[in-house]
Amino acid sequence: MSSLLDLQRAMSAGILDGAPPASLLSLVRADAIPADGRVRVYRNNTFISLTEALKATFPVVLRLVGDGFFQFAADAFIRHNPPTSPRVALYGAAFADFLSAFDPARHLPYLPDVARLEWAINESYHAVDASMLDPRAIAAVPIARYADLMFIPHPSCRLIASPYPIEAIWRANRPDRDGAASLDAPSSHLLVHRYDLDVRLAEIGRAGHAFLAAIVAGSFLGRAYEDAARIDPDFELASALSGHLARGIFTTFVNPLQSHGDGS
Amino acid sequence: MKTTALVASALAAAIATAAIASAQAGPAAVPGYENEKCFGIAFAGKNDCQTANSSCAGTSTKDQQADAWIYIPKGTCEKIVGGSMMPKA
Amino acid sequence: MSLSTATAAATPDSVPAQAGIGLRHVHHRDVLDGKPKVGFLEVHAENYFGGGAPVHILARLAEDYPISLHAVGVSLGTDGPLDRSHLACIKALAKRVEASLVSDHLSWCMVDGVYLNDLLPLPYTEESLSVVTAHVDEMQMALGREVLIENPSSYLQFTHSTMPEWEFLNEVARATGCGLLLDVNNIYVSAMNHGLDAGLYLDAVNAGAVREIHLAGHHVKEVAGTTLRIDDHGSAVAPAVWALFERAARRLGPIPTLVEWDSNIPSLPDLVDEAGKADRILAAVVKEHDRVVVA
Repeated sequence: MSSLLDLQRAMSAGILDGAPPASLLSLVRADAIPADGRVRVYRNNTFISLTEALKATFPVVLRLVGDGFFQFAADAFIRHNPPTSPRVALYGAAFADFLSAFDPARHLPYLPDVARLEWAINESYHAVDASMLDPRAIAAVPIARYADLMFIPHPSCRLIASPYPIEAIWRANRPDRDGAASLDAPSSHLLVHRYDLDVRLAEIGRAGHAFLAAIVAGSFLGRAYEDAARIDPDFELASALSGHLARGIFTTFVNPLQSHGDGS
Repeated sequence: MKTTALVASALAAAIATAAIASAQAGPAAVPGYENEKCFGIAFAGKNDCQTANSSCAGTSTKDQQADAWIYIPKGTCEKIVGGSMMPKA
Repeated sequence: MSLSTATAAATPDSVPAQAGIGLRHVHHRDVLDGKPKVGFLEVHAENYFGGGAPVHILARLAEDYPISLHAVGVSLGTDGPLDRSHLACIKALAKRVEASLVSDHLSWCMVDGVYLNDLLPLPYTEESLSVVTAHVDEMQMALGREVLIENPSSYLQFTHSTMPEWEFLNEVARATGCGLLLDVNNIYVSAMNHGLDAGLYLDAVNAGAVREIHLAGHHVKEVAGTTLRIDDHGSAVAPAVWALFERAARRLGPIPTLVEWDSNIPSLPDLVDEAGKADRILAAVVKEHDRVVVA
């Protein structure tokens, strides 16, 4: 082993694939417990602690599939998608996609979307703080320009759409519930956000979802409204906006047609 | 043009609603979403510096072959009814 | 060295030489409501990098308690660059809660952009020493303050190590001016796992560099016909570790001492009671010290 870096690469490989290279084992003092047994303590701890972290982030997925299956899935996930950041709270971004490609879970088609909802809740909970937009600030813009405004969403704002009733499934698997739910319920268009330090869920409908999705993608207000109205010609923009303003869904706005240097 | 006028009046109405809400005292004045729910979600800290108690399990042998039963989900998924149980989209 | 110099030298004024508790999220509410009498609170820095409830609660508690930030993710032992953004997050948090102490471990957890969620062991070689020393320098420079380095529990030793762990720690402290966070339970766990004398380890550490002590429970396992001690922070502090702590307190003088409990977490009153035991030992050391000064 020529360098510390080589040793660390060998140890990393030994932890992730479970087969520490002989070059590493030859450097580990062995006694009653063999060298690979000693490396295995670290491997086991890494996998156990990351599995526990995934269980804490995806408690409903855990409850839906049970402990044994979850551990089996988590083990494969960790091996192929190890964390890339020391913030364990943000580990698991790829878990939903992993589950959608995970063959043993294919007969639970709603499972990846439930995982997406749990991930959105986790991200919303941990998102950085930002102040909410004071609606009075908009009044300084000429009304004729309102449709051209771009609203900047709060960092805790997440949107989820699913053909399955994932909020009902999620709610049925809260700790005090028995898990019974029906797939015959309507599809989901959810807004996940933080208000007053609490993560909240709201069903905002297909048009409401399209509207906010356009805003998040950087569309002007007028364009976002057209996206929503195409889905539902009766989409009530005023009530959607007053809900969003009251709940701090926007932090600020940009007036793209304003000339440079006047402060927006 | 129609969009511009409609959007302008909607946003003006929303700003007015916000002004009324902020003039009234108490959180009840804040208009939210019809179906909004707060579930008291809280996460534990996930970074730590201890070693899991069971970390030394299997230190002297190869990984045990996983029991076959773990390949089958066994949880509340059994309580989910209806639907075709097949992907809709 | 005399007790009086150790007492005078070690403690930054905002952290009293008393017992503190490791603050875990399950106790957030109880600590906010009950305001238990403890000397300080210590948290894992990485659990408070985001916004929302955790950091707001910590900022509120920082009004009533000195806060110690114990990082686990800097990876001072990695043979590669440190993550500057991670250091920036620690710095911002330290500023927000006016942290009294900032620490991380003598270990590594990152390689080639992969984070292995454990405190992985280093070979104690000149090469490792230059890596760790450079990184401690970099961390202290980035944070603009002294950091403390903690000895980890270990389950393996490298055959090519050329110095004992205490010598490595002393050398890092000497070269960088960093402080040491002596985890007495980790000393005991590692010494027992490797057939070393924990008392000799303790006595060999440069007392003038030690700024804080950690205490926790560990688990004893039978593995391959031998005993392995696992640092699971899942029970009360072991009697042998209390004895070692007493020896450390006598040698170092009164010093901020943290009781950590991370699995099978007890109720807050039970955790505070365990910290109280440490306080009684620290108080006894103060009395002995006073007698020495009077005589």
